[in-house]
Amino acid sequence: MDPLRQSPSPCSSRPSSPRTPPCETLGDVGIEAVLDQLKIKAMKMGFEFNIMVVGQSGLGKSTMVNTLFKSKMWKSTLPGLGVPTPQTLQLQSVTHVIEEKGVKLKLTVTDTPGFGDQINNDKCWDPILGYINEQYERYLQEEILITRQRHIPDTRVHCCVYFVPPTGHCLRPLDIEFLQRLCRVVNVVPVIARADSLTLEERETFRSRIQHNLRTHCIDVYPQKCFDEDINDRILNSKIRDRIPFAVVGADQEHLVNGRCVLGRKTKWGIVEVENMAHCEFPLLRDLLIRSHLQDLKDITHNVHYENYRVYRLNESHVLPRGPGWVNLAPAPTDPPATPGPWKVCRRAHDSSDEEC
Amino acid sequence: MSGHVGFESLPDQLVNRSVQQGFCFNILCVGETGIGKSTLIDTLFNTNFEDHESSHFYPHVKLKAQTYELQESNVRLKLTIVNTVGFGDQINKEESYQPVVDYIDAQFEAYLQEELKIKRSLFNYHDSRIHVCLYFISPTGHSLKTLDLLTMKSLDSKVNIIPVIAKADAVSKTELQKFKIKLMSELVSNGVQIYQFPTDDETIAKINASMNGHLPFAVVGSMDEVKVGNKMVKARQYPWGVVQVENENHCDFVKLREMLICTNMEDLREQTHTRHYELYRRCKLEEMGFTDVGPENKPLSLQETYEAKRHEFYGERQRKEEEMKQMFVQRVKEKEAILKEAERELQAKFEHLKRVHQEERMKLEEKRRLLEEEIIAFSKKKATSEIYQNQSFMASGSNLKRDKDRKKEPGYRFELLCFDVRACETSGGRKDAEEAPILCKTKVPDHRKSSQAKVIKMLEVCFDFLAVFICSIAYIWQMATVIVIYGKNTSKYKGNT
Repeated sequence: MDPLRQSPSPCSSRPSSPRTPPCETLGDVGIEAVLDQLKIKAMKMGFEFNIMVVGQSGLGKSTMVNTLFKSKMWKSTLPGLGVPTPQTLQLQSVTHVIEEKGVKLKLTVTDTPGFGDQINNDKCWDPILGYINEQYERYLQEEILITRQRHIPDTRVHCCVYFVPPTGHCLRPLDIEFLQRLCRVVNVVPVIARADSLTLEERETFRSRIQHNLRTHCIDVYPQKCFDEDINDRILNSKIRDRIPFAVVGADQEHLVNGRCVLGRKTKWGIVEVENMAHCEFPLLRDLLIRSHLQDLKDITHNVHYENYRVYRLNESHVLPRGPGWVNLAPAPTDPPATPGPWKVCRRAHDSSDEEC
Repeated sequence: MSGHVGFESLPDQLVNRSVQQGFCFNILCVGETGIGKSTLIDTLFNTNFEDHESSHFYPHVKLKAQTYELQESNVRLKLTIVNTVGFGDQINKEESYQPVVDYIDAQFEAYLQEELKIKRSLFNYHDSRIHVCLYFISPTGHSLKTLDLLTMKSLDSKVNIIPVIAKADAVSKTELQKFKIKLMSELVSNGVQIYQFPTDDETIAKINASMNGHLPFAVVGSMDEVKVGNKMVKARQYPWGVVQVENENHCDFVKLREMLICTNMEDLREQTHTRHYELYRRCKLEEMGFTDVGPENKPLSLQETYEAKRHEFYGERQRKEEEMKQMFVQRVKEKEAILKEAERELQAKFEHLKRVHQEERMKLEEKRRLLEEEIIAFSKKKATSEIYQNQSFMASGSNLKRDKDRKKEPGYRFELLCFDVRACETSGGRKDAEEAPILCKTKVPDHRKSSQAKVIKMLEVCFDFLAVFICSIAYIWQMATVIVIYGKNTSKYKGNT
């Protein structure tokens, strides 16, 4: 049985104590300058980020992406009468390079129109999982070439934002199925879409119910508890975990409020300001995804999810009998390893109290 | 739409992560013993790492690696210094540079192995690949030594080489310029690729370009502090002056420190990973038989090749196993045949011996029978002769004297032929038995066991007693007569008176 890799967060590799105790350098050698070197190199190379938005149509995914990155990534599509609803799920990716203060970001957004829109939504998650695994596969193939490129283009999905429709009750079976499968292969951040249809109390009850659902079904959304390294991380991440799923509102039109130009939705009874914490939790989402945890998302994708995929792939391609230590997983290569069969999500023994799985 | 998204903090996120992870830097120092490698490293990092001098008498070049943890404000650096011990000390220096090359390859190999593992943990793997090699050139003032040239040539494709002129206080300024020019031209003409500081980034391009012109750096290392002016500086004190380590006019130490640590440490690491390591990996994998492009120019994946190789290998192994099994079976058969043969021989021998033994036994039985017959015949004869003897003895039985004489005479009698057939059989002295029957020589008639002999004996005894009795009576009668006569005589005498 090949358990999900419980590698600690990549920020964790505190070196074990060497032969000599750490010595404070007397005076300035200049080791600190390596940080600047890193920065310069990073700015030169630029960053890559791949995000996927999943949800039923009409929940405001494209608008949300536009709001997040403050640029018209998508034209918001309104299903007109002449446009037939797609019969199968089609994934569409758009790549943009945006720059801010010298930092270049190559952003790829993958949209999933048609998710959950059919009458029979059985196995509607398969194309999505297939797409994610295909990106891993592409990276793996690049990595095991003899003559590798200097910098392997990273198209792996770093984060998947899942839009939960604002029913106010609890997670639907489709949501639960999808989330269970997806948490194992990618970082998932669930959000409550179109939160302006819920009042604040309704939001809180909905949120707590969703959290309860997630716990009951052992769905491990980002930020995952098992990758918390030290006490600071834990404190920070528990604050975030309290507020997951964020109740967000997307808007890409600007309005004038009190003399300021803000993004918001204008309704008869007022203007919902997107960036106002009192109105919705969009700033939290934005901070999580971009300002504080982007690198962490990428690291976990690279060190945990990708490595798991690699182990799975390298194991299952050997059809010869093996000795001990090799895992022979049953599913065929075409079937993405998302059925909750072969793997058990093993959690590290934690001293935190709310481990219910 | 404009607005502040906020991903300008991305480099900071990256930096924070690296700070948490810590940095790793590995320096290899190659140079002769006593040229000042350890002192220079101490001075570079401003710490006393170790202080014993190494001996000059090592038979082979060995590499000694030591890891230290340094911390400056919040940056942790895991520094590994690898020193060559005994480099250039041997009389025959042909094998001097091979251990160094092997060590570097071994580190690459370790990393490659980790990378090819199924379950790998690259992010907390302690990277031991050498990031920079400081090559110490001794300050002769003339040119590069052959050993230096050879070593650098074999190392330049595996590691970033930065040549330094050690103990630069032994060279004067003008000589130094000429020496540097000579060195660089020699390196270029021999095709040695030393590390060039990168000049593609505008922020550091200028300074790197100028530094490139100062290669190789002439350095002086010292951890001793000397008072110059009114502050303590690191310097070497001579009777004719003080060589200050951190004075740019005196030596290039500051430049080296700048270049090595402050400006280009990250680039050195990157070059090692992307250029030298990739080259090693490519060569190694191609050596193992993997290619990217298979026949018909279709791209082959590593996986498939690996699979095919695995199949092949397994097939090979199976075949070999079969072969060995066959051989083993063959050998066993042969051995069995030999043993059977031996067994048969032994059996035949045994049969033969048994037969012979049987024959002997039969013979002996035959002989025994014969002898027994003879014994019987003889005993019959003896019986008859004894009867005859007894009869003759009865006829002259009252002759006591003759009995006595007979007893006294030691003469021997031919009594019995004794056979000890048993002894003859076992000891194999059958012939003795036939030839020499044991003759029992009797002196005393103890063997006479016939009843007639007993009767005769009894008669003899009676006669003896009778004889003794008669004699005694005769004697007593005589004595009695004598006494009577004497009594008569005396009484006659008494009567006379």
